[in-house]
Amino acid sequence: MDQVAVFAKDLTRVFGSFVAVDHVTFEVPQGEIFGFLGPNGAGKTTTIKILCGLLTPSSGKGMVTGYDVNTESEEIKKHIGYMSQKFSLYEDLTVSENLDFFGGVYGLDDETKARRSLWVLEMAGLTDKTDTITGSLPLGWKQRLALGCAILHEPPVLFLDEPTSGVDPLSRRNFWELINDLASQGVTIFVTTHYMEEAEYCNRLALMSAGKIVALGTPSELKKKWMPESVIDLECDQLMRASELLQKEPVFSEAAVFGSSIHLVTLNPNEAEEKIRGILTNNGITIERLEVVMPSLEDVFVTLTSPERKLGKSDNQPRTYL
Amino acid sequence: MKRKILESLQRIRWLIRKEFIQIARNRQNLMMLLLAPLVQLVIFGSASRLDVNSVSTVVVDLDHSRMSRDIVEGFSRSGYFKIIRYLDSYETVDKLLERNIASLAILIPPDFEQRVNGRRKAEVGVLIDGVDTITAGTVSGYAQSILQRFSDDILVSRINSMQGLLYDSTTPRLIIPQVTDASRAWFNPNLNSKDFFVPGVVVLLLLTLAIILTSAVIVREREIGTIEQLMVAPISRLELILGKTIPCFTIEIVTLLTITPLALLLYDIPFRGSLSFFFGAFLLFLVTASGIGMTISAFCSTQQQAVLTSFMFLQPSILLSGYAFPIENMPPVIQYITYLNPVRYFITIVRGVFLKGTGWEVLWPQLAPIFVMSIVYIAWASALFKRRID
Repeated sequence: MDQVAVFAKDLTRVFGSFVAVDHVTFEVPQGEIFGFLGPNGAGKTTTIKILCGLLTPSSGKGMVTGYDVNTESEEIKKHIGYMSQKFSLYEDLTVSENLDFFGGVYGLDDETKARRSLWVLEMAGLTDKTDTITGSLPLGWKQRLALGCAILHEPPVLFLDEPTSGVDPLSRRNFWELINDLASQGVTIFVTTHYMEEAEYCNRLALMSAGKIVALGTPSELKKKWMPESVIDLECDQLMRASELLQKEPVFSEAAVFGSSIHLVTLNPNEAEEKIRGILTNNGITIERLEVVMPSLEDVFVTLTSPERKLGKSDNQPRTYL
Repeated sequence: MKRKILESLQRIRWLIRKEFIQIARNRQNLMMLLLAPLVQLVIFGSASRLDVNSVSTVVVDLDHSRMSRDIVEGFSRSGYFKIIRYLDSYETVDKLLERNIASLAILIPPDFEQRVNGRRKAEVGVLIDGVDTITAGTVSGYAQSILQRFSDDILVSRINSMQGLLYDSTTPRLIIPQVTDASRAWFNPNLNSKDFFVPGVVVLLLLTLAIILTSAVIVREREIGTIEQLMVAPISRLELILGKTIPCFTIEIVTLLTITPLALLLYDIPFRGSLSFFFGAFLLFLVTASGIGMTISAFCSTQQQAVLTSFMFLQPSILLSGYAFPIENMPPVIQYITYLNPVRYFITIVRGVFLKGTGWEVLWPQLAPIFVMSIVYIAWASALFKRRID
């Protein structure tokens, strides 16, 4: 593996009596797309804030592009790009005024600024929109411009905090193509997300829950490691009632509604299938479709972050960092 | 080191530039910023008056004598009273006062002249609408002095006639000692209330502008979420604060430089002090006001909140500044509270400079608390900002 771009060892941040980030440890090599996954309040944003130099850790060590988060936050700020879900651009400035401003505060000289602005405009497809007021652009374009402003100064590490929330799927796909390009040029991408299909784009994922990293690995490793059980995808009428009935059965370790179907997690798919057919037929519920599927990241996510799991299974197994 | 400072100045320059573009782009706000102080100066300056002239007066003269006519004429000649109606009975007087048609009634009883000539006590009734206590007090004072003069005149003429009776001589022997007031109002000889109020209006306009502008401009960054982007950029807290406050300060100074000459021209008020002391003190006051604005902004998440909170702060600080209500008349507890109010000191300074021509030698004890408060507010705001980021 190449150089380590981001590194955290026992990183901890406490707010009063609340432990937001609890002994988080990981390493991100240069050029990797590293995803942070977890429910709201799991500590993802706090971790990013520490790594960006906005917060000091209560204890532990963190390094970003060779600078210490405890002591060198000013240096870190010069060498990272940051973009959040809020598209932090000035909506009342034009596209070029925004680029000018961010280039200016990052201390780019005129020549570099002109070159990079041109590159950003091309990348975002905004070449003929330089004098447009940013607020009047569609969300997807604003987001690409925000990304452009965040990487105007060519940072080796880019932090993205839920960068695509609220953006339509097509724009999201375009956005991820850009991210992939950047990564292939050696930019390290550190991204938090809620979207599971987005998580699949990451080289590696860390799953956070209650301030701790509960799993870490490539998407397929996570699926294999954390889902030894089978997932049964069930479509039927009276979805909610069916889910309630099946949850009571001990043979299923998990029963959750996913859109128009129920995902049932079980170690014994054959027995489970019989159970389902029996219970549902007795209750007058019609089964439309029943099949055993490959577990998705979402299944892993739900399994690892559901409250009963935290006390049971996941704590019994040793945490391994892949 | 030198390069670092240069880079820092560059960043501040970019922040200022951006702020001005934003201010200029919002036409509606820009017009408000530029025009509101002018309009307010004209309106508040003309409206803040306590002088009493042309008080609507009704006269009920039941005596119809030479003496009663003299009294009525004394009132109308004074210039403070405008006689709007003569009535034949007391009955309708109450109604006219109730309906605010008249604020003063002069009631002269039928036997007035007779009583005076009969060497008896004669009374003239004066009814004043007491709802507005300040005006009522002034009016009552004027009325008393007119009646006093009238009775003095009678007294003097009586004595003169007595001199003749007693001594039958042209040289009077009996001298009645008379003490009259020869008071003169210094600094404001005509007791123009506009001279007293207009300098205060200038202070209030700039105080309001500075607090609202500063708090709103800082909060806006938080409201739209760009503050986060600025915090992850290599911009220090000081650079950010300067980049925000310098544009506000520029606007405030431009306003001050327009409003002050305009106030002098429009209202013909004197300016007796030193211009440089005035502007120096005003700058310090504006720094304090910006500090207050910054502190308010640290408690708010939206511009609306910031403007509302600013008004919550502005109202008591204007009421307790001595701008309209003399601090000496307030209960002691409230008087102590006013010591915490920077406006209290600054109103004194500005009135001193405009009307008395006093400067640093006399006014530094007023300037010192403002200076202390500027430091307190800025330190407080900056501690709050730091905590807010954590």
